[in-house]
Amino acid sequence: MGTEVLLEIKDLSVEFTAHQRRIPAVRGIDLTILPGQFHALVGESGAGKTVTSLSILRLLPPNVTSLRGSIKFNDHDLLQLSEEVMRNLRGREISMIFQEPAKYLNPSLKAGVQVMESIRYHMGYSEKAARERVCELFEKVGLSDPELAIDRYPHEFSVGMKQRVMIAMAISCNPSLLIADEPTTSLDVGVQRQIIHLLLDLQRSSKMAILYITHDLGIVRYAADVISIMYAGKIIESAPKDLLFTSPLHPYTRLLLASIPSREKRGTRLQGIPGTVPNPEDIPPGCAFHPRCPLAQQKCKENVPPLVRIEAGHRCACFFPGKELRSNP
Amino acid sequence: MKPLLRVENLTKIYPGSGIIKRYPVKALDNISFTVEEGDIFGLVGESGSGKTTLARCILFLEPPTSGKVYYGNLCLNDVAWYQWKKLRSRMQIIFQDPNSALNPRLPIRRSLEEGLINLGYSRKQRNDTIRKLLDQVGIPYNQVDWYPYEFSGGQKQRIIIARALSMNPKFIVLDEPVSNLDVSIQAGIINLLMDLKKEFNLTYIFISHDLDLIAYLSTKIGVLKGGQLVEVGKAEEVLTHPLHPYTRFLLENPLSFHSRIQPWETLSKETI
Repeated sequence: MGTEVLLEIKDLSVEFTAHQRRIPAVRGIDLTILPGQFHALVGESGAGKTVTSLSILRLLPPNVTSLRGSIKFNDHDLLQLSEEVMRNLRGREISMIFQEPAKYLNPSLKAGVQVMESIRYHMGYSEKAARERVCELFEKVGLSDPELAIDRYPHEFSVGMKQRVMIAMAISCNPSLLIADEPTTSLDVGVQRQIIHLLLDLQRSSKMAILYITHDLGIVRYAADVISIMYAGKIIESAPKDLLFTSPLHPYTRLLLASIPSREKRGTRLQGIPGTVPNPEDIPPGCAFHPRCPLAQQKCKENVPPLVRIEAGHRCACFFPGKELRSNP
Repeated sequence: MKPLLRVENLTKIYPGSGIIKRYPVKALDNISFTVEEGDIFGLVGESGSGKTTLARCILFLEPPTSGKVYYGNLCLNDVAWYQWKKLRSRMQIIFQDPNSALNPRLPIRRSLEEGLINLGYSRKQRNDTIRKLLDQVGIPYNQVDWYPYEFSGGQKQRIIIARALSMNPKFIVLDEPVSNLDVSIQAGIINLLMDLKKEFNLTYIFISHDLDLIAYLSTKIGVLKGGQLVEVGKAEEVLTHPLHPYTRFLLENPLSFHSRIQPWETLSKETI
């Protein structure tokens, strides 16, 4: 074996059926996460980011009609494991935090009890030992007065604090992969910053890998090691942070980066992307981005560009990677 | 330039809820600023800082507890209810969520023509106006009988902008108009708003939590924190010489896309 790989998704496709219509949410993606890596999965709404993360944990809703490909985690294919093994894995090896922490905490149970639950289940701790562990965790995630916080109910915490409780719960069994699905999207700038710093600190101190799902390129630029950009159920570009921001190759990535407003752009026109994000029900044939792409040719309408390696670590799914954007009207 | 809107010592206190004891909430605390004709007044602040309350108080969708709002020389506090109908067309508001701002049971033509009927337009005038407006915001006229659900979020926001424009407003309050839209759509809406401003000589009050966006488009910037306007001034001044520590904190946000601060520079310094 060469380099150690923590998670390897190969050719994953997920298809839903709703109202007798087939909705291909994820259309064959490859994704590799190394141990301790901060991997950002970026995309707009409907790109398939959340479906990808839910399929890793096998938490997909029941109306999934087709699930193909493989998700290898430490040499086990997660899609083949029994539900029982899966249950032992969730929260212990792979855990997840979500956008609205309030929705995922039981309002009628004390915060400490909820965090203890997974510790006792997975690690078989006694109640006393679990309580001590929760104290430790609360201290680690920056909740003041952990002894008191254990006996508080979720409503007594602010949103930022609730997210910290969620993070404490997620890291309680020292998972090797944390999936964070837009954990800071609804938070204020200051709190956002604290949560990102907390995640970075945990990633560094406990060698935990993070799959961070977001549409916020600012956070990605600050925190991620590797970035994969999704568009209409496919990964269209994947690269280490420095490469992606200095030499983006896919026209979508380049237009997206150019469309972000800033102080420096005052008085100039923003570069927008024409058209709209395709509905997962009718994704255009060929390259899904071709109707909005300034480089689109006949070839793009007929063939799907594969995700190919352009240089070390940099992959892009475009027939004309890096081509001058103004060449076509 | 002459002032179009003047806000003087505006305060809004909500009585608060509770059965035994009510704690009043001071949502806005003594706010004063002036918006000149042609300005884009960017209002930035966190959630709960009172941005939306301020927008609603300026338009008297909610009466302020104390303080005065002047529109030109007219004091809005003294306007009688029957005069509002005429005045409303001068000032429009666009909300954050395009999905809840259009009636889902009406084709967009009906939503667009409602205000025009009030102004006494004939059917032909209405159709011509709607055709022109939709053309301006980039929605094909042949979709005028579609229902809101048939449009994407960005298209709905365009339709709502067209509806606001149909009243020939002098100024528009934009309450987070692009926050609910996909990143790739946002730039298009912002470009549209800037074009329309030029074409119709509009004045905007642009509310957002995104300082990068406010810094991009505003001529004046106001920073709200906890119901207080902690800093207000010309955009260049506020951006280059921020005076209030909170403004500086916002400007130095390492999570801004344009920040070049690296995690290891801040991680060691900041307590987690």
